[in-house]
Order: sequence, then C-alpha cells, then structure tokens
Amino acid sequence: MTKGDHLGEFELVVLLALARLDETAYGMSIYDEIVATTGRDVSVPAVYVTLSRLEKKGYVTSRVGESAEDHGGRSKKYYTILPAGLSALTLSRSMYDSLWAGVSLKPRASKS
Amino acid sequence: MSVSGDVGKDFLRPPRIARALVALFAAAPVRHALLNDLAERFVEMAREDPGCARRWYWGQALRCLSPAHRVGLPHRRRLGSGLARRSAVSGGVQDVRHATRALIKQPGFALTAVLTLGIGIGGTTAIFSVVNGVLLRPLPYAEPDRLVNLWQVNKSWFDSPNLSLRSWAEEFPASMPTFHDWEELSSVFENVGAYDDRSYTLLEGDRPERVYGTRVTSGVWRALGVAPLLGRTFGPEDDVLGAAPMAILNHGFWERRFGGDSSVVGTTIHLNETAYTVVGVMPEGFYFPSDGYSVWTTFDEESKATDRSTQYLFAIARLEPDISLARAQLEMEALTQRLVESRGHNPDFGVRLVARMRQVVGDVQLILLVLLGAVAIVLLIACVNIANMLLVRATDRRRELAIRSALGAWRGRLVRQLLSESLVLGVLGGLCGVVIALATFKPLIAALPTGIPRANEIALDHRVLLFAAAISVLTGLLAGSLPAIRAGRAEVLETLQDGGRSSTAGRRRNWTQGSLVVAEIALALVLLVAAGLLVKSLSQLTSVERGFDSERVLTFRFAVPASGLGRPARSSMPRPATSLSPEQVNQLEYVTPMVARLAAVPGVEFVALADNMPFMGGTSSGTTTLETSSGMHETNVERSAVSPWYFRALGIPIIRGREFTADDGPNGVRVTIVSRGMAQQYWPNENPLGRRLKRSTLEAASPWLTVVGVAADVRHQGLDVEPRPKMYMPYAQSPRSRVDVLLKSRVPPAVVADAIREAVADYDPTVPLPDIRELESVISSSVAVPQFRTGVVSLLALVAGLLAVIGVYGVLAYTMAQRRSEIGIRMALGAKQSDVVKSVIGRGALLAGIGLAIGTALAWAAVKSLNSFLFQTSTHDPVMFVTAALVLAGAALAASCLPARRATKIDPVEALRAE
Repeated sequence: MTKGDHLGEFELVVLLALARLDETAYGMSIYDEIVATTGRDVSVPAVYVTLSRLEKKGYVTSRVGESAEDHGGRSKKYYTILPAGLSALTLSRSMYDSLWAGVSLKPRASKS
Repeated sequence: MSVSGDVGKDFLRPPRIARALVALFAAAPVRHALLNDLAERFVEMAREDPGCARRWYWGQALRCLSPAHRVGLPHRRRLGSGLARRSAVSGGVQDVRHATRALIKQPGFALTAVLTLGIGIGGTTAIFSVVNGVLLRPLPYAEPDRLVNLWQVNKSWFDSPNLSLRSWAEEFPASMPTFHDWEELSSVFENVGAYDDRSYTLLEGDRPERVYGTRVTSGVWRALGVAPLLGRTFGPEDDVLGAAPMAILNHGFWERRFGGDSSVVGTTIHLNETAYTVVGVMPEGFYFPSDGYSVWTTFDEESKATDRSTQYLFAIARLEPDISLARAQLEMEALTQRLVESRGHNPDFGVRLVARMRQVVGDVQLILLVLLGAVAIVLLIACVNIANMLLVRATDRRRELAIRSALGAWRGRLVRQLLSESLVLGVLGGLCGVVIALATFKPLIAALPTGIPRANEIALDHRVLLFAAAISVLTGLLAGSLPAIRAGRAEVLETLQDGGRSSTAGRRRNWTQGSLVVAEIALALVLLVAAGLLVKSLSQLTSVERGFDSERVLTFRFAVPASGLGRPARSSMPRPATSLSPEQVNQLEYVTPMVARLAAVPGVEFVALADNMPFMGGTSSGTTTLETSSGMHETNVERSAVSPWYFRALGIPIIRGREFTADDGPNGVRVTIVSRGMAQQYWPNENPLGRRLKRSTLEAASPWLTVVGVAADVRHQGLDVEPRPKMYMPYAQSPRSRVDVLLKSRVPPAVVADAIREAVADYDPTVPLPDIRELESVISSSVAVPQFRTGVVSLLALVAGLLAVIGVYGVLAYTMAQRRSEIGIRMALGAKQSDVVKSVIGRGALLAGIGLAIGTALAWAAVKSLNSFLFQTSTHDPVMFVTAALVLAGAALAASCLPARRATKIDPVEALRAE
C-alpha cells in the first residue's frame, strides 16, 4: 500500500459494493448494488472512473470477460478485489470505528 | 403514439445527442466500456419504459460533462491539467479567466480579432437599428396591426399613359360624402376617420411661421386609440357643420413654441388667419400621419360641405376584433357595389384596404433587407477570418494540447477552453461593435436619405442591444467551433511522434483553412459585383441628359396669401378681360410686382414662375385635342404654366420659335410652347408653329392655343423618368395661388439667398419667410436613396474584399511558416528561389481561382435581386463580372507576394537547425 493513500469516500463506497458482490463484478452491477443498498442516485461515469483509479492504485484488477451474458461481441470488463484492496478496506474501517467510538449524536447544552 | 410503430432500431438505440456527449466528454480510459454498458442498460430499460430509459440515459450523459465525475473525491490535484476541480459553474468561470489570460499574452492577435469582429458586429448592429426602427417597432397607436388605410380605386386610370396617374389609380383619395357612407354603412370597422394634410401659417408672436398640420375627423382619434397628454381629442360633436374650429398640438411643437405650458389648453391660435381653440396636447412619441406634423385641426366649414366630385381625403380605420384584412376587403367591395346601386356612386371607383404599417413603410422593406443581408455577409467573412486565426492558434498549441491529453486531461475540457476563448473574443468584439455603432450612429442617421419613413424611430433601443449581444455570442461560438472540434480530436500519438510535421491531420487542416479562404473570396466577389453594378447605375443616373441647367438656380414654393389680395394695385396693369376669374386676376396682380421686386435683387439674373418645377413634385396632365395634318387628335399630355424667362432661367433651349413674353398676358392671343418630343410625335417632318391645340375634348369650351415655340425635352419628374410630351402655357394666362418661384443667380446661391428672403419680407411682411433651396440640392435629394444604398454596399464590398485578401495572406503565411524546414531542404538541394516563389504564389492563385469561380456562380444568381434598383444597367453584365474578378484576383496575388518574398529569404541551414 502506498504511503498516505487513504480511501476517499466514493472509492470506499465502490470498493465496498464490489466486496458485497462476492468480489467480482462489472461496472453496471456495482452501480446497481450501490443504488439498491444506499438508495443514493449515483453517477455511472463516476463509478467507472473510480474503478479505473482503484485499478491504478492496485486495489482491484480487471479482466475482459467471456461470461455467459456476453453477446453481440460486446465484452465486459470484470473487476476483482485484490488483497491490497481488502487491506485498505480493513484500515479504513478501523479508522472510522476509532473516530465513531464514544460519539454521542445528541447536541450539548449551550454554555451560558 | 402507436406501440407497433416503435418496434425497430429506433427503439433500441440511446438518444444520439446524449451518446455524443458521452463519447466526447467521458474520460479516455473508461469511454469505451461506458458507451457499451450504458447502451446495454438503456436497451433493457427501454423494453419496459422508453421514456424513463431516455431520461436516465440523459442524466448519465450530462454527468460526463462535470469534472466531478472523473474524480469522485474532493480536493485532489490532477496531473497535467494544473487546475483544481470544482463544480461545473466555477469551472466555466475558470475557463473564462484562463481564456482572457491567454488572449492578453498575445495582444496582437487579440486586438486584430476584436477589431475585425467589432467592425462586423458594429456594422450589422447599425443596419439592424435602421431595420428595427423602420420595420420592427410598432406604430405608436393602440394595437397598430388592426389599423388600415382606406382608398378608392380609380379604375379608369389603370391604362393612363401618364405615369403619375397610373400609380395614383390604386390609392385614390375619397370625397367627404363617400367617407360618410363608409363611416355609416360599413360593418367591418370599429372606427373610421378621415384626414388631409395642410400647411398653415401660424401668426403668433413676432414672426409668422410655416407649420405642417393635418385636418382630421373625430373618428381618427377613436381609431388610433391614444389618449392625449392634456385636454381632450375631438368628439363627434366637433365634426358637424357649425362646430367651432379646434386644434390639438403635437408634443414637440407644444414644447418648442409654447414652452410646454399646460395652460395652453383653452387658448386660441391663428392658423391661416382663422382662430382655432386649442383643446389638447398629444403625448411625446405620438405622431400622425408621420413625424413632422405639428398640429391637428378640425375640418373647416367649406371642406365639410364638399360634394362627391371633390376627392382629396385619406381615410384610416380600425378593424373589428375578429375580422381579417382580406375579409374586410371583400366586405367593402360588396358594400361599394351596393352603394353604386343605392346611392349613385360612380361605378368606375372601387375600394382598397392597405394595412397601416404597409402604408407607412411602403417599398423600403426590400432595400433594407438587402442591406442587412450584405452586412451579414461581411460579418460572416469576418467570422471566417477569426476561425482561421483560431485554427492556426490551436494547431500551434497542439503539442501542448496533445501532452495534456496524454497526461489525462479531459478532452471535453480542452474543447470548452477553446470555445471560451472564442466566446470571450466574441463578447469583446460585440462590445467594440456597440461602441462603433454608437459612435457612427449620428452620421448614419444624417446620411439616411429623406425618403426613409419612420426615421424618427431609429434608435439603439433594447431590441437592438439584445440583437448585438446575440450575434456576439453566436459569432464567438461559430468562429470557435471549428478549431475547438479539431482540437478535441487531436491525434495524440501522431502529433507527439512526428513533432508537428505534415501528417494526415496537418493535410486536413490545410484543406480546411484553404476552403475557408475560398469561401471568403467567393462572398467578397458577390459583394463587389453588386457594388459595381450599383455604382454604374448611379453614375448613369446622375449623368443622364436632364434637358435643363440647374447650376446656381434657387427655388421656393410660394402661396399667395388670401389677405394679399385686394391690395391696391402697385402696377398700372390694365384690368384684364373676363377670361380670368376675379381670384386669378388678384393673384396675377399680387405676383407680378413681386417678381419685379425679386428681379431687382443684386446678383439675380432671371426670375420666373412655374406651377410645378422639375423635381418639385408631380406634374399635371390632361386630355388635349391637337390639330394635326391627319385631322383632330385627342391625347394626354403633360402641362405646365410658366412665366416669361422660365426657359432662359433653366437653360432650356428653344429649338424653334420663341419664348413667352410680357405680351402673352391675359388679354393677348392664347399661345403655347410644346416640347420637342411632342412636336416629333404629332407633327413629324413639318413645322408645328402655327398649329393649334386646346385643353380637354374638341367639344369643350376651352380656348384654342396657337403653338409659337418648341422647347427641348426636360426630365421633369425624376432622373429615371423618360420625358413625355409636354405643353407650356403662359402663367399670366392661367395663374394659380400656389406657385414655384425660380431665380437664376449670377453669383454663388448662398450669397443671394438672404437678400431674396429680405425682398419677400419687404414686399409682404405677413407671409412666412420662404424656404429657399438650391435646385441642385433638390435634384441630389432625388437620388439620395440610390446614393445611400450604393454607398453602403460599396463600403461593405470594400471591407469584404479587404478581409478576404487578408485571409489569403494569412493562410499562405501560415502554410509557409509550417513548411519552413521543407522549403529549406529543397533550397539546400538546389531548388531555385523562383521555384519557391512560384509554389507559394501558385497556391495563392489556386485558392483565388476556385474562390472566384464559385463567387461568379453565386453572383450570377444573386444579382437578379438587384434588378429593381438599377437604372440603364443590365444585371448580367459580363464586363462587370470580369472586372470585379480581376480586381479581387489582383489583390489576392498581391497578398501572396509577401509570403513568397519571405519564403525566398529562408536560410536553409537555419531552417533545418530549428527543426
């Protein structure tokens, strides 16, 4: 893992979605998963570009697939999480857990 | 929308524009996959709900535009672009700032571009302001498109040999009884009013003043629907016999003459020695029937009582709410037919409705649109030049752009950046253009010929400024679109590999540049041919044989005042016989001493009178019976009553016989002088002197006149109107109350003008000072319209030609600069300087040649539209086409010489080293 490279929010989202999908999926499936799970209206191009940069960072790998759904000569790119990606997810989670610990969401009474 | 109709390819393809957005703006690494997958998902969704699928696809496509889609994270710097990502809006502002900075770094280019665009946009805006004022702005009345003018149609004049009569036949004035019939019986109008213009002498204060007014019935005010600023307008009670005379003042006149004093309502003013009560003042900006009329009065008693034979009224009406002009026309025709039967209307007279706007604007529409078209062509050429310049700049920066693209810079961003540069240029050019339009506004208005209607409405109002803004943006986008698209498609690898030498991309670029220049030359040729034809026509017009000499001739129109009559006779003229009416006798007695007084003014050589001077308005004509060698002949000739010295004063040669003299008075033998054309037509090969003719038909009671002289033909009604047979009568034998006075001066006219005015004031202090004009300037005004359009088109042609030639130079200079190394190599290998020169000039000649060929074809088709504007000049004049082509070719070749010369100065060694 390269130094100082924490996952950004959207990268985290995409990576988690991929993790949920048994670690191998193509762009649109990941998009569907995000929409279905979070209810958030996400941008498809943003998902694709994020996958591309995750690949550059070495967290995921891709292959152009021959899967059962391919037809008409349109082959799809399938992404799989790499161990480095899983480590990044774990690191991220522990970071957020530490920060969330002890946080109460009730507003404090004002001091006066 | 039937379901079955949707089955097929359309159904299964994503919207094309949205797809293009994705293809253009999506990041390179994901573009292919994105296109495929989005399309596949679209097909799935479209099977269930096509509308939803389309909306979804558009949503995704639009997201490709924002920089945010490529990063998904805030605050990350991207390699190579050097710009922090923010939302799309601030990205746009960033683009503009960047573009402005880039332009400042190249001030020469920026200045040239802004100035070129400024001239183009400024010129177009100026001409549009004229079009706007004359054609687009609504008339200052309530719902002006419901107003129509009502005319009679004099069917018996349709075949008249007299040109004036033929043109008046379709717009013939009405009589008071006919107007009342229309008012009473027509069902298609809400209101009808009648009007008639008059010139009045206002006797108020120290100096009498000539004032132009209009007599109106109350229906006019109801039809126009404009409320007065002060007081009231006329009501039906003011139209009846016995009602007191009333007047309403124009706003400008009220401010100027009455100091804007609101207590003027209720006071009395004296017009032509009649007392009128001022009952109202109209608001600012209101005019009727046109700008220049200062006062509206009720009709006088005599006019109210005129019968059907006195036809002099104009009529205006407001259509009922749901009636169209066409329907109203039909109904009025039917009504007219009924009136022939029921009220004994003359069956020779029909009726005609003309929309008020059309009436006011008349025929000027065509020429204004032609001028707008011409200036738009110049703007287009300027646009093309800018596009070329931007293309050059883009290709100069293609290495920079290619590197940025390779480093991941988003293509769409580059396109946006280039477009914002040209947009900034467009906006700056627009500002420059507006400044130019403002600066040239006053001179433009002054240069407009006086015949242009509604010239008072021409202003740089909000519509004109909006137009200027719109064309600035459009021009900017247009000029920048080509280079921007080109840059977007820059072949990265190719460009970096060959270091910018000629490649397929380069060749395509040269071809584009070349075709742009060809287009410029073609358009410039069209304008040049048009200008050439107009110039030729104008010179034909001004040099045509007029038949008289207008040098140092002054003229003014004079109305013998009613009060002037009955004065004690100043001359010892014997009371004439009863061939003249008592009024005519009085008029003659008034005028004769005045002429003598004027003749005594130092510097004046001749003084003469005429009932209508050449170029001072229409001419009268009438049926005339002639005694010829083949019997009595009835025909229609022009007529004029002139005093002695008339022919001498105007330099009209008397070919046979004599001029009129003082002996040709009311008591003398009735004589006439005929024109040469008339003599040749009716008395060919014989001496017409001694022949007789009379006005009207053979049986009429008018006296026989004996021909005593033949005068040369005169172009009376205009330089472009052929002279017609004309007969002259001595003024003393048929005096009129309105007469044109002409004076031939020995000295420059400006010198005597004051003395003449003083002489008139001295003779009769109660008449307003005469409006003295030089005949030369009257004739010049008659060609003011052709002069104006010739001037404008010539100016535009010049600018267009200049721009096209600059375009040629630019392309050649750029090509040559690009191929420095190639030329250097060739020269090092032994190519002679003359070969290099030949190749550069050859390329210039090729561009010019193709441009001229296309331009000739375009011009050949386009000149047809000029036909109505040309005088004694044919549109398809080969000499004109060839001349214009040669001029442009010469200029283009001259422009090619400069780059050619520079090419010869290339040092082969340096050129190769610089590679």
